Amino acid sequence: MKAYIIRRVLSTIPVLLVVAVVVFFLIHLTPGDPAAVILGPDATVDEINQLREEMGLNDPIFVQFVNWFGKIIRGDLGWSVYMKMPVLDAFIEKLGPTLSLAIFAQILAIVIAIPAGIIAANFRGTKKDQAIMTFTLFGISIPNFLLALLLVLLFAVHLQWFPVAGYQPLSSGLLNHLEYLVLPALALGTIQAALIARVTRASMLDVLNANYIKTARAKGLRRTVVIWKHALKNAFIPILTVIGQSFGQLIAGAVVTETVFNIPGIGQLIINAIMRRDFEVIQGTVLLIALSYVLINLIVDLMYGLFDPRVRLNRRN
Amino acid sequence: MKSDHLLQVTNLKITFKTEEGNLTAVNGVTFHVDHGEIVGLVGESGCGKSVTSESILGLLDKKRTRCEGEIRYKDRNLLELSEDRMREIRGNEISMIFQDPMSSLNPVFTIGDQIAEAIMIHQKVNRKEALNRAVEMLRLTGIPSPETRIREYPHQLSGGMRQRVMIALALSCRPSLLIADEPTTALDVTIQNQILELIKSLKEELNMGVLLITHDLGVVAETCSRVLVMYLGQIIEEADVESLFETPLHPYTQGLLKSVPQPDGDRGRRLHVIKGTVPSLDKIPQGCRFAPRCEYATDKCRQQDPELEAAGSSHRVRCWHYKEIMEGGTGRAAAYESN
Amino acid sequence: MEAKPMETQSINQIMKARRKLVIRRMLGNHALLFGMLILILFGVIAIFAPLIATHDPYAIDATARLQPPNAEHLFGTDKLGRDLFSRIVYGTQSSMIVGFSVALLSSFFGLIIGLYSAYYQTLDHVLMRIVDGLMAFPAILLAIAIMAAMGQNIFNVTIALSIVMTPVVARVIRSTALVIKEQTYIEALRALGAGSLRMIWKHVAPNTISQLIVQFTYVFAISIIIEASLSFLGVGIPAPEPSWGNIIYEGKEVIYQSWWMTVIPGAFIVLSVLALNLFGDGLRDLLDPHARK
Repeated sequence: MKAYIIRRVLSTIPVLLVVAVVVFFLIHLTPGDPAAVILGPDATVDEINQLREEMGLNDPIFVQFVNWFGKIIRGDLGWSVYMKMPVLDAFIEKLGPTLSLAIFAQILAIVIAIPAGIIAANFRGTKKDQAIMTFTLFGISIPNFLLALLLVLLFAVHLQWFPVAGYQPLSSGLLNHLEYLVLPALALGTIQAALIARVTRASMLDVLNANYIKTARAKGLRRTVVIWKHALKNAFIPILTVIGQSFGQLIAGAVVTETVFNIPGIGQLIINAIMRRDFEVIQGTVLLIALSYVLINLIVDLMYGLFDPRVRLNRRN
Repeated sequence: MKSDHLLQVTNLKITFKTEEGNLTAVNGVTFHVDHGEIVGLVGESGCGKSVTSESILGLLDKKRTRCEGEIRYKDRNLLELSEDRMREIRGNEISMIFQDPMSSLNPVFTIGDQIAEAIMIHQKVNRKEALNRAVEMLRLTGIPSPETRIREYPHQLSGGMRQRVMIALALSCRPSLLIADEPTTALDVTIQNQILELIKSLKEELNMGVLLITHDLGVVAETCSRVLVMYLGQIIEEADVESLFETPLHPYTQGLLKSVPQPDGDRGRRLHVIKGTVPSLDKIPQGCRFAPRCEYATDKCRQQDPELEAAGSSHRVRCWHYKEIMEGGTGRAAAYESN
Repeated sequence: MEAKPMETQSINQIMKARRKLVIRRMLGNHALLFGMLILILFGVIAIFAPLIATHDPYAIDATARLQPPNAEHLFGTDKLGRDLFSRIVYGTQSSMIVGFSVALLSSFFGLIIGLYSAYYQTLDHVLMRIVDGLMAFPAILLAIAIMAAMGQNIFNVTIALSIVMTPVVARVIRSTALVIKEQTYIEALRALGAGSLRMIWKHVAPNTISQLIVQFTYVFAISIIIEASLSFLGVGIPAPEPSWGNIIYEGKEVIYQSWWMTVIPGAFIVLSVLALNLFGDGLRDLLDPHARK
């Protein structure tokens, strides 16, 4: 197991490197001369050139990359021109609401999807299965901003069960906090639920075909035990993978959802940065999100060992 | 007479419901298994032997298959029992082991847990006691240091050991009937023998009846006292093992025996092959099912499906012309003249 | 053994029977049919947009603002009085073009990258690290970042989405190719002396085609969703060019009164993606016999 952990952690390093390179590349695609922007329209060519020298903008690309990378490692992800604070600080400030939303959505998704997928696999071919599959089909065919808008129309405007938009921090009370997050979490979570349910069903079907399930039944076990104990533990690994991936998609989806519901999270941070051309914020945020995605996947991979003893005890490669 | 047998299958008919219509995989199969005997069920892939064995334990998908006929086990018709009753029998009075031991054991549970689980459902004992019994079973099946083994996972064992674990699992509740579906097919030849010997000795010890399903005639010769030959969902010959090998009556059986390469035979001779291929279940030929591939087939064979008739004290065959074939063939007919 | 003309004839019969079976299955698969018909419909709309649209999608008419669907404006008008029917029709064109191009580009590059990675180990290590790195960015964020850097127009949207989707296709093709590579018949060919390049293109590639086609439809579907999201956020197809996403964005402010501005383009999005998903699912069921049952 230890070897597996070490190997897995080490393999993240090249990926992180690629992530850094991609972001750096994006930075350099940005039009405009940063020095000229800083000095304003009245600067002379000499002044701009001097600032470029100081900022290291005339150095060869590789040197610039190394410098930039060094800064990243130390936590300096740039400076938000608009908000007048380091990008990292802005990110941390806005992280709270997005995390709440993402976690809420993820829990909703898992709680709905896994039982649904199991039921669909168990009752394969029946009306129950078809109904669940149709539902998931719609789930993956709708963009989350559209689902969000439709949910608002139905539950907030028409039925008036939930607030239309806005955000209440945790400090104002848990129930209040959650009330404002229900619709956004539903919008985000339903789509993820559709994906997770599909994978759950497929994985369960695969497992239910396996010989050891026949053995389990031949032992005289009840069908529920066979499914929930024998099948599920084996089916769980692909499901876990997709949950890890879906968390990353949730963060991305939050970008859109926060816009619809006016939630002051990372999503809004990015959108505002785009409109205000606050490039360093965009790049820094995208970098951080990619990093956390890699981290989440790493954690998920390491969790495989919990479920599959072949991973835990495999001495061979 | 009927209630004397441990297992009596009468006129078993199994139909699959598919999108292409109903396919009859097993058509009117009748046989029995007694305590202390190993009955071999032989046939090529697709002849229905696995389906037959799975139907005994009710393991077939109820929604997609329909079973008709009778499967009498100790005076109960298994086809009529509720699922709850069947669960009491599975793993307890009738056990089954399958072909591929690697995929037949759950990879994420220890072998100790898997055996103990079977013991705990059928016998009212706690986990500790169940694990003790599991260790005993493993010892019985010849696995060294079973106390440590119970904490291991299937992938940590070799193929032969896994099959021993499967056997230990199946016999953990001391069943009266063991159904072994191709237990040695996936194993190395050297291990095959050990497993077969194990099955034989355990049968003696527990006085079990064993239904051994295989396509390997060598295995049959080694272990079985009686043999049933299946083709396309029907039993086409049934005999005790010596009679079957010495005087096979059905052309199919004869073909099977001829197809086994003889190491001390004429090396220059071509290998015998039964011409043609097994038809698919949706294209079952009219009349005798083997007729299209039989060198002795006549018009009668192609029009009428023969019944299984007696051809000796314990020999039955499903063929219109077995007598003529026998006389024309080996000439040992005199010693075998009816009843 | 004499030559058997009976046998060759039966092979032809078998092939014909197989073809009939595939077509019968295709027609019997209602989902697949439905998906295909909707897609053809959308394709027609996209291609013949100028003929189908009733008005100039850019034409502003201050007197006809925010009208509900009526005889003159089939889907109503937006806050600038522009005819929504025509805008949505042209939006169909944009979405279909973007979706199709992205699917085409990413399938093409994904195929090459996937195949070569499956075959050349060192290349595999390098390429797969890059693929993993790219896949670490949630699709929409990477698209946003690229658009922010490159500027906003339909061409850049296509490029950005292709960059995002190619790694996905590459991974799938690579896995498929790896499985095929391990099959015994490939080993047999190699033992006969077939060179790598020939093997890749003549033997392995054709077997990946069915997977590729299925991925094509999924990429097409995802591209439509992401493009709509980008346009909704204002970083996709730039206003005033019509796109389903930016029509919905404009409809957001007036969602309470003019809900059709949200629902109608929304229906178009859902329908097109649904059709693609159904088509892809149906294709996969058809082409991969192992996936059935």
